[in-house]
Amino acid sequence: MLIVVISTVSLLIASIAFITTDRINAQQTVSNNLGTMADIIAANSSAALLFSDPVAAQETLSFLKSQQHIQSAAIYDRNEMEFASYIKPGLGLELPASDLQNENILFWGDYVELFTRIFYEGELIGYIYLRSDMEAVHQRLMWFMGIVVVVLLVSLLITFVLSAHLQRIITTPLLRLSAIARRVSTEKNYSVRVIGEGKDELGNLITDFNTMLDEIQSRDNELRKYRLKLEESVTKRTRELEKANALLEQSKQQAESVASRMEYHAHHDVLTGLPNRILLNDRIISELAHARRQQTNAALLFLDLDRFKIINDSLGHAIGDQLLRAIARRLNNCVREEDTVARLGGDEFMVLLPRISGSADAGRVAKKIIDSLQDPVSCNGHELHITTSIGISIFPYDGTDAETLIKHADISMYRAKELGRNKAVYYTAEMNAGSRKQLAMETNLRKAVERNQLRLFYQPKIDINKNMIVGFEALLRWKHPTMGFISPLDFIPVAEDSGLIVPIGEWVLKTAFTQLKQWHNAGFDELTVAVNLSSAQLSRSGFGDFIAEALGEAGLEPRMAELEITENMAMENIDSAITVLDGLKCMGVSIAMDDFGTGYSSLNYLRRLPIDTVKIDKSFVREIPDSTEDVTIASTIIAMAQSLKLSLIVEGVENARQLNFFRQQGVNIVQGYLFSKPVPAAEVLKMLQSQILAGTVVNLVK
Amino acid sequence: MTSHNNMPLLHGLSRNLRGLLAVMLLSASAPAMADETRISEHQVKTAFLYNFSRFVTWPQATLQHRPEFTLCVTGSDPFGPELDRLAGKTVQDKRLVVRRPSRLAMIDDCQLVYIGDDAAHSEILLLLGKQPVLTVSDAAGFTEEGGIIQFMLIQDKVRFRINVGAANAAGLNISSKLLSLADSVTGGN
Repeated sequence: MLIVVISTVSLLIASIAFITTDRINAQQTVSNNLGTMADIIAANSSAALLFSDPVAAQETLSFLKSQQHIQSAAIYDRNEMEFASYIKPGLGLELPASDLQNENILFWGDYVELFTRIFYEGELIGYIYLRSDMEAVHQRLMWFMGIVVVVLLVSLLITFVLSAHLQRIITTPLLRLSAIARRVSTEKNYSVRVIGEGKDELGNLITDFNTMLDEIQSRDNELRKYRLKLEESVTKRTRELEKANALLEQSKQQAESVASRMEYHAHHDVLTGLPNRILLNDRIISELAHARRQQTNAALLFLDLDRFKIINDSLGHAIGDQLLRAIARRLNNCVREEDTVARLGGDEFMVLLPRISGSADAGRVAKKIIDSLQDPVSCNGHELHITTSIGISIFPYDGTDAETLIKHADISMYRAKELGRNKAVYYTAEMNAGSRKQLAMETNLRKAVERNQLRLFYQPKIDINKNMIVGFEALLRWKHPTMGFISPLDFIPVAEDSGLIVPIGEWVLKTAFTQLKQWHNAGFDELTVAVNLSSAQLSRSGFGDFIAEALGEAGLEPRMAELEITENMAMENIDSAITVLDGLKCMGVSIAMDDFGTGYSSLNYLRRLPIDTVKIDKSFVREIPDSTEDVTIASTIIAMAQSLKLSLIVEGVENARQLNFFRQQGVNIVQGYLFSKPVPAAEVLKMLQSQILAGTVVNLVK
Repeated sequence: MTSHNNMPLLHGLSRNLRGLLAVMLLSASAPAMADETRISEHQVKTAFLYNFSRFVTWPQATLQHRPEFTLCVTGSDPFGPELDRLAGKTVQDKRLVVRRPSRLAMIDDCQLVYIGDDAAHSEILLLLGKQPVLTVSDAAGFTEEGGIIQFMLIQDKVRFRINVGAANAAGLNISSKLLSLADSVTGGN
């Protein structure tokens, strides 16, 4: 059927193409014919037009009567006036009267119109109009279409007959083939075969199909055999595997238990069983992430046991370890399930409090911990009292990462120690300004005081007129066992901040006084000693009593002691300074103004202070006599001191030019490397004794 | 009269019938009438003179060495300036010039001569002899005297007759198209 449709469609398309081409050809022929006819008329009517002879022109047109298809024709002169015409009778046609200029051929379906121009020797002399019917074209088309229809019918008939026959030849064996294929696939019966043979392609196909079935059948048989074998061996293997799996499971469990033990040890402190630093860090990080998401607070408590070292050293490690275990238990009792108590090592512990509602919670836990340690711990019959200092940092206020929070908790813990131990201290931003380094220095300094690492050095004061040592300035030196000499500029501010300046200051005064007494006893009983005071000492109540007591202990006359203050110290609290200094003055102690000229004191205040001596700071001395500015300042201070009847000491004299300058200015007493740097007490005595031997100090330096 | 073998159709009709048809056509066409009255007889003749030259072939030797085609008028000139308008047109691939020679001796330079009514036709024709000069005149009996084309007025329309013999004698070949339009053709054999 398909074949019939295809051939019909192709024949139709071909026919349409043929008819269209033929129509175009026929039109072409008609227009050619008309053109030729117009050419003849033009040739034969040119003379008639030129000689205005319409009769002759009319005669020219008369041959059109024999042309059946011509319906009308006309000749016009150059003014488009009708010159001669022919109209086929019985049609009632009219001739065009204008628009003749364009040469044209127009097909109107039933008829054709031709417009053309007449030239003679290149001169336009008239126009021609011709009209013809299309009868010939139409007849030819009808004839052609008739042929097409006949051809179409005949070829359809032939196609139908041929395709029916082809179907019998090709389709029947194919249908058989597909029936067998279907049977094979549904019944899984590979023993059936297709009957049929032949030497054409279909015969080959059937043979190939049967061969394929042979192949499949034999493979199917083999496959069945293999499958049976396979099933046997699979069953066997499965049994073996099950056994092996059981063994594997056993060893895996062993490995897991070992691994979990190892993991536990990696993350826990062996002594107390508490989480160690590693596990703590993990928990801090994950809890901070949680707190960040949930926007809750978390706190870190940094614990350091107070004086644990003493217990450890005096009672032994075994007791120390027992104590640590007991404390670990108490700490765990103070916290919630979700909190982490970790031991960082030594006597340091850290408590992580996640998901707290505010920093006050951390404080409550810290207090609970401190309280829990109030009851003494019994260890091998010892009743041990132990306290702890706690530093607290809160997420997110004191830091948003583990490192910062730990650092800040640590700093706060040091502050707690400073404040007298057995305390919990929240971190504040100001603490950070002090920095951990400073806190470390403070700790070191504390130890230095305890371990007597501080020393006093003495720098002689020289009377340049008498050429002799008249006294010493005591200067504090700290020799750290590993860090060496630490500059007073570094540690004095730390001592002042921490309050250590008070015990240090007291030690300095007592030491200096005692030392001076020894030198007096050695025969140099006119020497004085000057000691620098700090503002902390000056503002401390009972300072005057302390001085009196110290002098009394040393057995010194007060006039031998000189106390140096700075301008700024005095200005901090001028009224109390005046009171204290007045008291000292009454006692007989002399007062010196150190670093004079560097501060901002006004002469007014200076006059109110009970000062005996002014010391010119070495910063003004350094460039004398080269710097005219320094010369002026020094001269002014000297003049002022003289007018106020104050004695003068010049510090930092390093060369002879400076010495000469001040000598000329009338200064009596100087201090400086020109004569001697500060020296330990032991050397002072030698210096004094050699002075006697040499007669004068000046000899020493010349 | 029947020397035009190539146009049998046109010669199938009698002269009378052709004349009758012309009358019918003219009377049926008002613009044609107006045209005819507007254009004077001399204007028509002037155009005819020019058109004659286009349907006549001169011997090659005559025109070969001439730069121009010379149209001459001898005797009285009925055309006036109208004729001069033809000057500059192209005839036989030459530029047309119009001359009015003062002496008869000069007319053998002309290719077409219109001989005015007052001229001595026979003397001029004699003078020209067999020279290739197309002679045209209005004079009655001009073709009988040996002139080649003679204008006539038939029913107020300008027509002409032709003496083919004279033309042939002068070596001029007149187109059959022109001959078919002539009112009569004489001298043919």
